Amino acid sequence: MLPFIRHLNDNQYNAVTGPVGDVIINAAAGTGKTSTLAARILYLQIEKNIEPEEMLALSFSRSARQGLISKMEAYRKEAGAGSPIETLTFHGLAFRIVRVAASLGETWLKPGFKIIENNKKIFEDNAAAFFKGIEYKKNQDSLYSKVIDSVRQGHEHYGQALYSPDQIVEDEQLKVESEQGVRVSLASLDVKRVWKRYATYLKRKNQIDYPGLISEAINVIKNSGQLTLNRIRTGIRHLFIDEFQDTSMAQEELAFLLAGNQMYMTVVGDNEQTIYAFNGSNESNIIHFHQNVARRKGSIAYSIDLIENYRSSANILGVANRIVEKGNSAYKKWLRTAENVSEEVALYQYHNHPVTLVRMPRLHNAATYIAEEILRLHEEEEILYSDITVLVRKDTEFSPQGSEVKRLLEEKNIPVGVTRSGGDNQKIVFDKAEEICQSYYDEPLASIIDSIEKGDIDPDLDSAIERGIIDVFKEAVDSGAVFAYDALDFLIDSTSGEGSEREDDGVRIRTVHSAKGLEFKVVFVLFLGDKSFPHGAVPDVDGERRLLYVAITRAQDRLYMIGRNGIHGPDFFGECMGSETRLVDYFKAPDAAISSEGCNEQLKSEVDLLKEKFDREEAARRDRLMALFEDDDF
Amino acid sequence: MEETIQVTKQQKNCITFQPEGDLLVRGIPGSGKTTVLLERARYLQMKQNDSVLFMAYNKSLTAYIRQISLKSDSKPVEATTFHQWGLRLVKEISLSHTHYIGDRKEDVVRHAYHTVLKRNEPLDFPKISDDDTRNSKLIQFLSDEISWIKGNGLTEWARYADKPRIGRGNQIKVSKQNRYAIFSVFEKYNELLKSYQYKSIDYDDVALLIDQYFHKVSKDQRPAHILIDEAQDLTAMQLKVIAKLARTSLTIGADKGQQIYHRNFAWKDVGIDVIGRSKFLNETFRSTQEIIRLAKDFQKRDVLLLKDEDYTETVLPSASGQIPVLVESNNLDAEVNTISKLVKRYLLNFPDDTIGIIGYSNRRLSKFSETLDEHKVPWVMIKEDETNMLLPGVKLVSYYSAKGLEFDHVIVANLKKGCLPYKKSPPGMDEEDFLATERRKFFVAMTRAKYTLTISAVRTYSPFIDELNPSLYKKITIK
Repeated sequence: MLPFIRHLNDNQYNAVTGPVGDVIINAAAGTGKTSTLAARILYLQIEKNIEPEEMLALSFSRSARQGLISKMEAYRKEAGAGSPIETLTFHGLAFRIVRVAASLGETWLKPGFKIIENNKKIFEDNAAAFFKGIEYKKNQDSLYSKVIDSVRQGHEHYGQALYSPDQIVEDEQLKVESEQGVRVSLASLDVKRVWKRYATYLKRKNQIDYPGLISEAINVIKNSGQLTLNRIRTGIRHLFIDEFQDTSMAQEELAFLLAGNQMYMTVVGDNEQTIYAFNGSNESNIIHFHQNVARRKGSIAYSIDLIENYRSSANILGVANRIVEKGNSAYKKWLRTAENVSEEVALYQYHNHPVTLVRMPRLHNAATYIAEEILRLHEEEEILYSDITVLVRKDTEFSPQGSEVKRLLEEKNIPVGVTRSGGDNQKIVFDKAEEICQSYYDEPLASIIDSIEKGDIDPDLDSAIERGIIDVFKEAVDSGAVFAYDALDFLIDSTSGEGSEREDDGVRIRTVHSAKGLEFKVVFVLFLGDKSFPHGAVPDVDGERRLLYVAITRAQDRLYMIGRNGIHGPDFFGECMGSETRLVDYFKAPDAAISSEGCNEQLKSEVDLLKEKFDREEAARRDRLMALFEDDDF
Repeated sequence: MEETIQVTKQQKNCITFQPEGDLLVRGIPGSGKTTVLLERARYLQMKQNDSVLFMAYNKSLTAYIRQISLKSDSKPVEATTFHQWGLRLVKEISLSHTHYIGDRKEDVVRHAYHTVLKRNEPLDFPKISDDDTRNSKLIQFLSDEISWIKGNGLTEWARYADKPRIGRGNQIKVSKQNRYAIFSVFEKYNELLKSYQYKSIDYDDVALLIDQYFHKVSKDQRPAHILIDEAQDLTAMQLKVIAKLARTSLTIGADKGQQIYHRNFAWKDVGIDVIGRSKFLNETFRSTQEIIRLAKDFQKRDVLLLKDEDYTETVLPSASGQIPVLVESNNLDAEVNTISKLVKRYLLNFPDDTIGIIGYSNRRLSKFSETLDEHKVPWVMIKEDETNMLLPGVKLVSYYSAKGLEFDHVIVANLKKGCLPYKKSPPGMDEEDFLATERRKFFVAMTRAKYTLTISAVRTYSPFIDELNPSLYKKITIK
């Protein structure tokens, strides 16, 4: 038996060795999602004799792709067999399709087209031209760019992604949420007109934006690109998709179009962890996978759930399960602790600390509490600062949850780790790498790396930059790239705002969104309560609940949930409460705040009597009221 | 207002009153007005299975109603303010700007005033004595007048020209020529608000915009049943659109004795028919008779209210408790210390109770919160809608926001001349009218208390202290 198969639990084993066909693995948090996918890829190579060239893996982001690649590498070493397979992000795949289509004349873009990172500025600069004859309010330029992005990624109104303004039916209303969280309706005719003008602008400039890249790839495959499709598909028989819950409707469409009847799909995801609703991703991608496979491919998908958790204590999982239970998820899975876990996780399972619920009137008190508790954990329990993470729902100028905590931690001389993106250097590296790929378009990457090391490409190159470029190209090779043009598909992700991250030692403060897929020994989550978590004046409650689930399931050993009871929206704080939790109540006065003298027994008993009287009356009133409601004549 | 009441026959009638048309529920503080409205909302929700909207007067009250409603096991009732709800509707139906002008309103009025002055026509503004060279009093008067015009829907000259200026006082004489000048400023002001420079609306525009775009409001956007609590402080225009919006029924809870803004209109003027459709609750179940006796005696000073057709005398509750107490301080700083000591003593005797400190402004209340922090006493400030009011402990709340709430123990603070009544009345308002609304704030504050009431007087004492009957309270000293 292959070594990496030996550690698998029954469900994982079934997922890995499942039929050579369409497979969906619905994997709850911490259940070994990526490992299972990596194991399946290698299992199919080694046991089912499927060639690595016949496989293509897709992931949602660059860091997710990196996670999958390193997992496969570890298993390959363990087994002494198997090969890396080509691994792209969705943007990388779309770029490849459009790049090939441009060279074959199957798209409106011409070879050498540029990708723009943010279309906001274009809408601002060209407002006069884009909005000519359209009545619009101040700041609505951003609403139009938002709705056009949304329509291309998959707008709820259509239930699918659109790739051309001509698909928009006139005389309808399209809803879009403003930055203040208010839903605003825009006339579909206006949206259509603005989109057309924007498209004309892009065509003139030979440019495309990120959502446009995906929709143009769909457009190419659907409408013109038989030559392109044939070239992209060549030999690929198996498509693997990680983090399937985060794919937008457009990305899902692209994956199914690419697969057609030629490729089997193995998708992995967790319907409870769909947290990029604003990017057009939705829970239904996973829920409806079966139906989509049946409808589009005429086959039946094999499905398996992973629920054994290798990360957290039973109490933490209990709270996570309750949050799912109270929600409206279309498919609920219940987490349980796995057996045969690592020594570390076994210790967490053994500790099984209760989850601490801290009820606070204000965020300011929360920050003070966190600072004091972190000091205590560090001094009394010798927990490393770097094992502690504070997760905030939102950290912006308008809801500065993170900065408030950071300020108080620093006041108490607690080191705060800073997560930095790659910075300027990183940008130079990617720009230079792209330039090299463009000029050595069809040379093998291996020989380009060789030449860079010898200094043949650009002798004046700064050594740090040179090192950076070589690392990027090696990463591309690990992901299955062979020629320079293949590497271009990888470089595309590097410009999409997601740089590599460096971290210092110290307590980490980050948003829940950014913590997806990660795990931490000690986690503080804040700030539960109306408007802040669930966030917004009219929150997407289901989406916020999934985000809460993600936050809870990051914790391994200790979890602190901080906030107050929800009044207008759902009471997330109250819902967390249960047999797994203990309450620290900051609404109640500590002993120090209570006067030591002035006890008035007579007054106390007088008020007690009054309370009894009032309570009796209240009970009688309730009884009579209930009777009223039960009376049918009422 | 909440748990402490029995369902009397009259309350039952209110709850189950025919679910079509209008219903007015009047009630004194603590008579269960809000409870009755809530139960009626539930009744309509359950029995009629139709959309129900509950409106309250401010955000803290909606939060409070929501919390009471959550405590019962049936489907909780959604509560919102007219502004929250109305603004959302305006965003959906109109292309208007929806940004509030807020504190800058008087700047825009000033801008409008100076613009019309430059015209080549003589404009005759009312004479207001003012030492300020910037005409601040006139600007404030114009700003109030604009609110009054909008609040009464007098946005056309023909309607404004001869409208009796009820509720605007007699201090400032306004001739027909004056009205013409005021209306010029009003029109310019509206034009400026819409212009590129401001792109805003003011507080009173929400109701006007809903009225203007009413044809664009779809059936789905209109609730079948609307219930409003504390309706006495809405403007005529607001009530008019609310009445138009309700598809099937409208229930109004009101008490003129708690009217703290200056409004004046008859129900029929705003399209609400309450003849034979009016209920009155005059028994209070919230407080002890000692508290109500003191408050009721004080209310007798409100001669305007006593003259009002809506006024009916309060029946004393049966529950008997401690006589209200008065504590005295030499200045506002000393008062903070006195009350902190008092609070610590309350925490000792009543650790599971709510303690409401009611003061004249949020800024003044923050002095209390700073000192409470030093004493490690947890507190919440009731000004936002997220505040948890039912949990035990100290709640800080302003006279304005206290309406509709209740606390086990109440400390009414800042009874100092210049704080309450406030040092100056708005230009044009009659002194008597002004004092009446200020007096009602004190009345409202006192009637928030369930078990104990403490009144905190600060030198120089508020004249209202003299209006309290000395046999109905006792003075104590906090060491």
